[in-house]
Amino acid sequence: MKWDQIMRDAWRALLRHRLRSLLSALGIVFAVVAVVTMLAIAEGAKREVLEQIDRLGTNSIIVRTLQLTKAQEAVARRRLSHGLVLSDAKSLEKSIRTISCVAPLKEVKASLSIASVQDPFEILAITDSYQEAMNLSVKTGRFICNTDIVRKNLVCVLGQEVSALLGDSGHLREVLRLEDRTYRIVGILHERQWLRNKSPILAVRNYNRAVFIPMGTGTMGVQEHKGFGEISEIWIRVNRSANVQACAKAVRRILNHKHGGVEDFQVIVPQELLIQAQKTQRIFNIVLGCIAGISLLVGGIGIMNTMLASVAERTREIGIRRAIGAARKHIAFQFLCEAVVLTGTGGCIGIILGAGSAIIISKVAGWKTVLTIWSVIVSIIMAGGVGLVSGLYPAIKAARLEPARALRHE
Amino acid sequence: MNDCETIVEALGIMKVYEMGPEKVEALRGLDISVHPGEFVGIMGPSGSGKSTLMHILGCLERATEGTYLLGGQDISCLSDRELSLIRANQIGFVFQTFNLIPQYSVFENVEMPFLYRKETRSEGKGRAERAIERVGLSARRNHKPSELSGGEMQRVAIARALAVEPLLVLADEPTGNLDSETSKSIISLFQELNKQGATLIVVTHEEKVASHCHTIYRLLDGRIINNEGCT
Repeated sequence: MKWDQIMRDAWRALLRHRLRSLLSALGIVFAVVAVVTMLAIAEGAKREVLEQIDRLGTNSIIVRTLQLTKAQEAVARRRLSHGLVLSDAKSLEKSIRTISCVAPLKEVKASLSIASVQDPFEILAITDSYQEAMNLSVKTGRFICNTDIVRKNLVCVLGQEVSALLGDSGHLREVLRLEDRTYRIVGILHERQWLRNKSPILAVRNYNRAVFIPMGTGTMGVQEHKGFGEISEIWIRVNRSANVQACAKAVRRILNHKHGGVEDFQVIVPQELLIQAQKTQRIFNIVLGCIAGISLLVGGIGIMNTMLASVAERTREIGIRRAIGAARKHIAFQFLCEAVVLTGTGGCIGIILGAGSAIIISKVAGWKTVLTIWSVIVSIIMAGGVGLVSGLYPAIKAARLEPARALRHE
Repeated sequence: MNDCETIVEALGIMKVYEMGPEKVEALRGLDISVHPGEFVGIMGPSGSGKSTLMHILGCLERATEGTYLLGGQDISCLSDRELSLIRANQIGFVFQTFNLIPQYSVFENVEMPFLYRKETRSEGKGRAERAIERVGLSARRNHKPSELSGGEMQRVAIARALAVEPLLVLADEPTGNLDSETSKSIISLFQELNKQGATLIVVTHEEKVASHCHTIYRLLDGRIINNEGCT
């Protein structure tokens, strides 16, 4: 069979009725646009969530203090719970063997006045283990050490952006005033990539805009932190990712016991969030598949209709081709080719428009969209498949025409 | 004359069409034989079964009864695929309404049968070019059928039939849609081709066309009423 000639003939037959071909392919075009756009949005959202979860670390467990109402606080006190406290961190480290590192943190409410900066910096009271837990790297100077904690040294470490904004007074050995206390700058961190996240539960701190002070030095003149309890957060690193689930269970159990059953804390397990995100993704994919399926079905019906009309009006041509030697398979193949070329072209147009709409959506709505090669391949296969299925019946019908009867057709 | 010297040997050909409960007998037992290089005419009024006979001889339809040997091969029991192969390789058709593909050029129309044959593309192109040259249309090879006169369109159809160098050329009322001048030129083209060795069967109801035939079969109500040799 001379494929190239049959393909060329298919193209010409479609070009002969340009408008009709375009209109009948529109269903496929819109279906593919929908699929490509939605896949790009889904992939973008998935990557964003994965990036955030990855940044939190799949080996990590985060315990955060919860904001309580006055009444809830009273109940908590009756049950002898003081919220999240430093001793919680210590007992977790002591009782769970799979924990490799525990880093408590306290968000300190204090003002650091720099006239040019609107957005306030975060002041974080931490222990020396925080550097290891968060994998922070120091550009100049040193990080807060155990001696600073024990001796309550008034020292601080600055994020890259804080240091830059402070200008000359943001260098090593300069002093920084936090409310009524002055802290000496002992270290400046390397710049760290940070992405804003829409979901507060997955929020990752922007360490470039953070000031670290030793735990226990901020309690005098500097105000207490936001939540109920002594500390705001405990960051736990587990030795192996396989142990995360069991460790999270143990953390919940121990803290529940220590807090007398008061739910004044929240345990966040990025690994669980990841599994949840994958589940949500699966549901999204099913919904997406259904929408695409319906669109393609409607598009396919349009193609079948056009092909049937084409067979009917080209009955005589079929007769001529049969008279000069075309076998049934040649006729069937010719019409099948036309249907596949029609849907394939619709698919290609759909991919281009879909990619365009993904770009527009990411520009206008600010959503992250990612066009993968898989979504392109899937769309092309889908469009071609619809062409094959919807072209099959008209092709068989054309092939079954009796040559003599087809020739007599007016 | 023995069997191997006949191209067409049809014996007791019958064709019955079933139109719902009714049966219409289009052919009622015909015997026809055509020899190589012969110019055969089939004449008869409308409804006499000329076109049906043409379709059976051209392997477009099967006879309900009877034996049909084409080039010594019994084709009455061949499959649809085998009949297609025979049409592609051994038969050339010329129709009253030319039956060209309107969107194709002269050359593409003549080249079309090679789409269903084994020759390479360049072989097919060469043979199509020669056939167009033979009918004197080389200057119009890139024109569309709509840009040609009736006579020219029929020449294209003849070139398409000749390009595959068939055993038998079947022409169904080839001058039916042409004026008398153009008809003359088409008839002389047929005569010329016949002199070059082509075997032709022409269905016509024009005596002028029939007068050039070696043998004429006259049909009436599906039967041969007269079989005469001319010139």
